[in-house]
Amino acid sequence: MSAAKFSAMYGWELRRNVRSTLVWSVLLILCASFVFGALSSSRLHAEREQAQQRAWAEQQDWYADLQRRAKEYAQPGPQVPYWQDPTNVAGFSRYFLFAQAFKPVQAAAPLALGVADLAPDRLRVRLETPFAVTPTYDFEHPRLLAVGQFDLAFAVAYLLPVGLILIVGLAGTAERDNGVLRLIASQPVSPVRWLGAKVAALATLSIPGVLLGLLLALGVAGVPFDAAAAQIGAALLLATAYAVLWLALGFVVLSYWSGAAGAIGALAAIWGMWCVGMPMLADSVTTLRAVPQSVMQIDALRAATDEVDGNTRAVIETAFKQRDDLRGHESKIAGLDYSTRWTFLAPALEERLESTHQQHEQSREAGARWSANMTWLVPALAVLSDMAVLAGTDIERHLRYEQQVRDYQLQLRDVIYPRVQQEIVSPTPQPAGVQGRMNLLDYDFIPTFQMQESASPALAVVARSAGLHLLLALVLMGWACARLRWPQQL
Amino acid sequence: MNASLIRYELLLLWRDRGTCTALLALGALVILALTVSAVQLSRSDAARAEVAQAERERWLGQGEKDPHSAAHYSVYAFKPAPALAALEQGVEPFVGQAIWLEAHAQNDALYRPQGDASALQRMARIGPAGLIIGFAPLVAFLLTFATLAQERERGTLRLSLGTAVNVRRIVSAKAWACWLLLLIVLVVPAVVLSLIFAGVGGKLSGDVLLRALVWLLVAAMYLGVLTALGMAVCVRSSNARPALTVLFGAWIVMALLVPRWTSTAANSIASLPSSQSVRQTLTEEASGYWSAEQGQQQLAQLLQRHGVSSREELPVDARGAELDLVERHSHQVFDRVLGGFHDQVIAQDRLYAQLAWLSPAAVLQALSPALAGTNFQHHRFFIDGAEQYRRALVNRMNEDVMAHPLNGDQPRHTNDIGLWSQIPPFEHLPPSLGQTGASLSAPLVALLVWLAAALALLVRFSARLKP
Repeated sequence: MSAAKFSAMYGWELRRNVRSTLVWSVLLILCASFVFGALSSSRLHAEREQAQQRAWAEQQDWYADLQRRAKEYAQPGPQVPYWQDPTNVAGFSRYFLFAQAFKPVQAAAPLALGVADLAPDRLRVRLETPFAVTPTYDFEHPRLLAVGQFDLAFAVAYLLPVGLILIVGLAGTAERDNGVLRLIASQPVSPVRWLGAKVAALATLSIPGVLLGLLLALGVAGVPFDAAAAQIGAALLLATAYAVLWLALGFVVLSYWSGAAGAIGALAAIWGMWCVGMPMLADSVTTLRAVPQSVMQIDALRAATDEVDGNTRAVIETAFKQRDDLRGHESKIAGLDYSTRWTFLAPALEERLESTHQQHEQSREAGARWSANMTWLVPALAVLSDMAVLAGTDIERHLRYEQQVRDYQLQLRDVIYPRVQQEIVSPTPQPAGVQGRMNLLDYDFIPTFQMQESASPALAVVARSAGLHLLLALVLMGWACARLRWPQQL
Repeated sequence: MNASLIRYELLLLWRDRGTCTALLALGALVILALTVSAVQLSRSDAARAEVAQAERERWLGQGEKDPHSAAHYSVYAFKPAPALAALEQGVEPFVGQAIWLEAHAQNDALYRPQGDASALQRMARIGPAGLIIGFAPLVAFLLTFATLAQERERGTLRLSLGTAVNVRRIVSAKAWACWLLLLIVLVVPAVVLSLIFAGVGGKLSGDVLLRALVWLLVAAMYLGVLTALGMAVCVRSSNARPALTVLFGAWIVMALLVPRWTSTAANSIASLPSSQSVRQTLTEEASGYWSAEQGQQQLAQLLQRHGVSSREELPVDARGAELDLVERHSHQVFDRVLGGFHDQVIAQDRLYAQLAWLSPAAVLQALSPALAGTNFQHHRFFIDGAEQYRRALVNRMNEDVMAHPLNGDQPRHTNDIGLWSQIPPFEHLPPSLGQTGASLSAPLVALLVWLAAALALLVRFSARLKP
């Protein structure tokens, strides 16, 4: 009797899978989940983009109104209080500056929600806000966040393996459960070839099915394939490697020749360990360590503000003495308006809050680092994280955005504060009898925010995870092949 | 019901190493999640209490100043964690825990515990209740599968049925055994431990005990649904493979797909206005700053109200009256715009509860936070309570300014601790179960319907059980 060829067994299995209602049902449900996930995330991103556009329009209207008022206040009339006067550079700096920083939505955004539902992508930048960023956010229904978002990354990281578990667990154990395995084992066929042909046939159908489902989902969600080609390609590679890993795990479990219940139970246990158990344990390690409580920032801010408020005169005097242009003008400090005083107090406040701020930032960065490290151990986390990076919704990009918002605030201070402080030394003459102070007549000098993106190629983003998953799959397959024998008892 | 038969089935289940390991592993995860959650909450509660105390001291010790400046200085209101938050986190990680109660503005609640969460923290944020809701179905189905389908496969079911006077007694004993095991390992320790944590935190009260008891009953009903469904499928299937397919598929659909899908669908159907549009409306209708022109209009309104023709004739301080006018106008705007927005948020939760009929897991997702006091409806009591406190504080400060007419003269009127101490410290009073109970009716009915349907299926199929 001649041994059955791999190709013949593979072909037979493939034909059988093509006729399998189970395989098609699972693939169909997965595709539907991908489409729903991509649509739900693209909806949120679209809303955010619209909000950014409205906010930009609001800013334009604001400045148009300031221009109108500036013209009006150039007319004779009673003096307008400085805090109501947009032509007064000091009043402007605190009460009229409207500067915003937008984090653009990227072309491949429907791939993952990432932190898009938690972190703001639109920040109003005020000169006096310590370190530019406050913990404001765009309201998303907290129930939605608590139950969990149904986005494409969730569908790939959580549902794809569950679908593959079902397919592998049932299709791979049919012979064992039907009692046919005894007959097959008595044939001159190696168990590696036989089981390999089964899993390869499942992979041949399921992996392209999953990839087509992903492409369909992204197409339905309106992702521009040309603009996001690199990200889409990388996502497909990531999903392929992830699917191969789960199929390899399936191969290992099947190599123990258990029935459907045993195989599905074992694979579900691995899924539970990777998707729930390990993340919980990993997070518990950081949670049980003492981390700074975010509300303590309030205490630090209030205490520092009180301290600065209580020493306003001394703080400003120190600033005057350190500046060549202001030294000798200390007598004018008492007459400074609130806004001008704040041009000196804001940096002083930040000095006092520096350590708290650093502590908070380090805690966030440590959290992001720990999460990144855990992607080595938790494949689902690697998929979630990488898809978020491809989508531009990852925490690292958000941290970069916040850093750039801070830089923007400093840039704004650099152009506005000197103008305010210049008025202390050499005040702009006010035209006689007009309502406005008229020392600020146009607003075009205010820079706009433009986020600088990092230039890491999409493939590089997923290379580590995809490579690791493929390597792990190879090792698992190799190990299973090495120990695979027909069962002694059936 | 035969107690000895149930004891025997319990023993058999306990001896099934694989199934019991899964159950115990889930039980251990529930306890771990509860402990971690309790530690986290106790730390954040301690931090909030410390800052709240410091805030009170700052408020009283702010020295002599213009009362309206004091209203701007104001205080922060902090929300203590609900007593059963360790058991069911609900929306707590995603809602702000502190509100700055300054004049002119109803600020957002900020400092969300998960506001800066990494991908790992988001992934791991499944609390004890989440574990029970999401994974008890899988374990329940494994138990029912082990007790019935596998017995059938091994041929031991034929023996049992051969000796039974009533087939239903056997099925019933198996169902009771599964349900009891689930209840004893997953739910009872979680509830007891969460009550202990609540007691340690000094939060135990009659209302908390009642909530915990109802939560336990609801979770028991949920486990009942799962057990009955699992048993019904295993009884109905002639062999193990279709039973396994249906049960595993049911877990995927019921616990993984439907809760998230219904939540997302509810958000799409009853979508909320964006924060940007809400803030823009507030800025347009109730800005804390006003132009010189608006100031003139406000003064004219005040003069008309008091029947005088000039600022100097006003019987109250014009600045204080203007501040008071703007403040009270903003209250109406906040009630309409923000109050309306919060109504929409709660309406969406109601829609979710209606859609949740599709899965018992989704029903429990709606019920559990409502019972634990951790849904948005409960959070709103904090928002509204803090806002009422803010209004009382700001109004009192403005009244004091009004009561000392200067009308342009300097220096401005000031006050001191005598006035500040008239404002009591902020205290959040969480609502009782009775106050929020109405929202429970729809999901409770849904759960009862699921239980009745699952039991009816089980009873119907039990009669036809074949070895």
